[in-house]
Amino acid sequence: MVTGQPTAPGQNRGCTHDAFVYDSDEMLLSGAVPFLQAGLDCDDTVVVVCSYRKNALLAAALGNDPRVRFLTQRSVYQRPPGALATYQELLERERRRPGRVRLVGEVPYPDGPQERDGWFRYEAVLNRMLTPYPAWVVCGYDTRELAPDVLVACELTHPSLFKESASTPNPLYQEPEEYLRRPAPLPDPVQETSPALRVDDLEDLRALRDGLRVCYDGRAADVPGARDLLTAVDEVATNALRHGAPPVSVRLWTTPDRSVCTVTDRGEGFDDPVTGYLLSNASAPLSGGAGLWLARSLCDQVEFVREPAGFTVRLTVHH
Amino acid sequence: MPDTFAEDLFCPPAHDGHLLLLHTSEAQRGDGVAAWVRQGLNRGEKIIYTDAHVEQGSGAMLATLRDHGVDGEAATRAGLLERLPLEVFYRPGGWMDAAQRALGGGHRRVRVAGDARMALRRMPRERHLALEAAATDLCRGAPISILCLYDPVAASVDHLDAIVTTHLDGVHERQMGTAPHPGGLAFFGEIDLRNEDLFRRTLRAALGRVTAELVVELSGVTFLGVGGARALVTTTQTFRDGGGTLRLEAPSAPVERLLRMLRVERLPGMELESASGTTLAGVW
Repeated sequence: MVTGQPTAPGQNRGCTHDAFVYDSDEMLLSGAVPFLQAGLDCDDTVVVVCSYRKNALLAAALGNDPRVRFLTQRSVYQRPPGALATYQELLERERRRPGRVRLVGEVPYPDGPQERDGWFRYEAVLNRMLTPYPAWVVCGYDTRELAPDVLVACELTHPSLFKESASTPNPLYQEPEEYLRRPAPLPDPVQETSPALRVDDLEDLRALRDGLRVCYDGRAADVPGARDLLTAVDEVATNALRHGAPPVSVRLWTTPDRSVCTVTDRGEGFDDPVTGYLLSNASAPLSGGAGLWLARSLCDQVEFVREPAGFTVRLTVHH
Repeated sequence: MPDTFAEDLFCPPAHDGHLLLLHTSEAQRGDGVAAWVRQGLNRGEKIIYTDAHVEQGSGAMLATLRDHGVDGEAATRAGLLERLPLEVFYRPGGWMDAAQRALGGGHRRVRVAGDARMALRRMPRERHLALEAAATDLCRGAPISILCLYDPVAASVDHLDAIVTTHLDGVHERQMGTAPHPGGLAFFGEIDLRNEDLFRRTLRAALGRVTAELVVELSGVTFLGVGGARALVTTTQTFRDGGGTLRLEAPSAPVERLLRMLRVERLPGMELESASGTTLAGVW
């Protein structure tokens, strides 16, 4: 058991990723406040990323200590890759200090099951991202607000549980590779219909961009998510042309509520389910893997399908 | 797909000077030449060119112009379009003398079109590069513009860096172009996997002209992906490590968003100046 009590600077430099399940404001405060206060007492970096209401509640309980950094959920939790990069950047910066980072955060779980699933995956990937950093991250789960599937996922993605301001091992935890590796995603029903765009042997990215724009009547900028999808498709298609095996084919389906785009090459693709979530260096995203990271940052879903016939990346945005 | 790039290609006002058109097909070549000649004729400029009916693959200028709806015959009769035989065009003095004669004869401006394929068959590469350098000087000192046509994949032209360096007044290819800009250069068009290599070469050549700061104006760039952003970062790495600054000016909103998502502006020696003068918050 790791307790929330102060530790000497330089000690306890490992990472901890707890799930904190609570059902009342009193329980939130009685768990989080001693944990955060202990961090302030030993000069740790203390960060809180909860709803406006809970941020205010915690700030007051900590005597409005100016050393506590409060971030809004909106500024951090827009999409999983961006949230991971934001935290990675913060941890990288704070690593130079002697103490560690203590963070209480709550993902604002969206209503859509697929978007929610993206955040479950985020929690799994977070374990890998945190590994090199001296950080104690406590993820709040307010049972008053959350659907049952969120609470199930939280038990599978957190190596430890936060109870009475201390961390205890979680027997249900699954390693990220295990949690993220799922059966190949099913085709989206829209893929049964005739695509709006069909390119069978991609050579020219500019022609592809023009073709995609035509599918939105040249008004992609007005369709929420469409322009981001075009950027993401370009990166995925660039990867396919550069690293995959020809021919590269592209399909786009559009409906009033979403767009689905597949990019397929004849190569083997890759097998790491964490691909595209993490940057090797969050302060310099261009150091590697930036194309897929960008695609994940810009799309609601990015899925990989490995089949004998080839490797497909499927991108989905909701309008 | 049709090569429709050319009409936009020479649109930027600062098009004059010693220009390069890299083409990978006869269609692209024809489009570029026709757009350039049309612009010159519209401005009442004298145009001097050469072509070779006998040389395989290089279409005769008049036929090319006709295909693009430009009446070259009428322009020739009006004395605005002048064809020099190959041996005259590329002999010492050659087209330079003809251009000076045209200016002396009352033409306000002259533009000259030359084809590197033919030039390189008539002179060694070193002499050709010296000629290119002389052409740059000539354009600075007289109202003369020169368009040099190159096929970058032709085996005879593997000295692309030197070529780009001598044509920084304007490097053009199918979907990208440059124009001079105070402190550096402006790019326009679309930058992707296809022209990333030329984008890098052009940036490297532009770095050779500055000491402390290179300005890259991006307002005309309608597409730039991760590869282009990476090119901006890696080609200037040594320059920035040595204290230099790369100033990226006025990117369009989508390009700016991408650059900021990739944290480009936070790298040492990198400055990003929004078109609006403000920064975008919360790009994620």
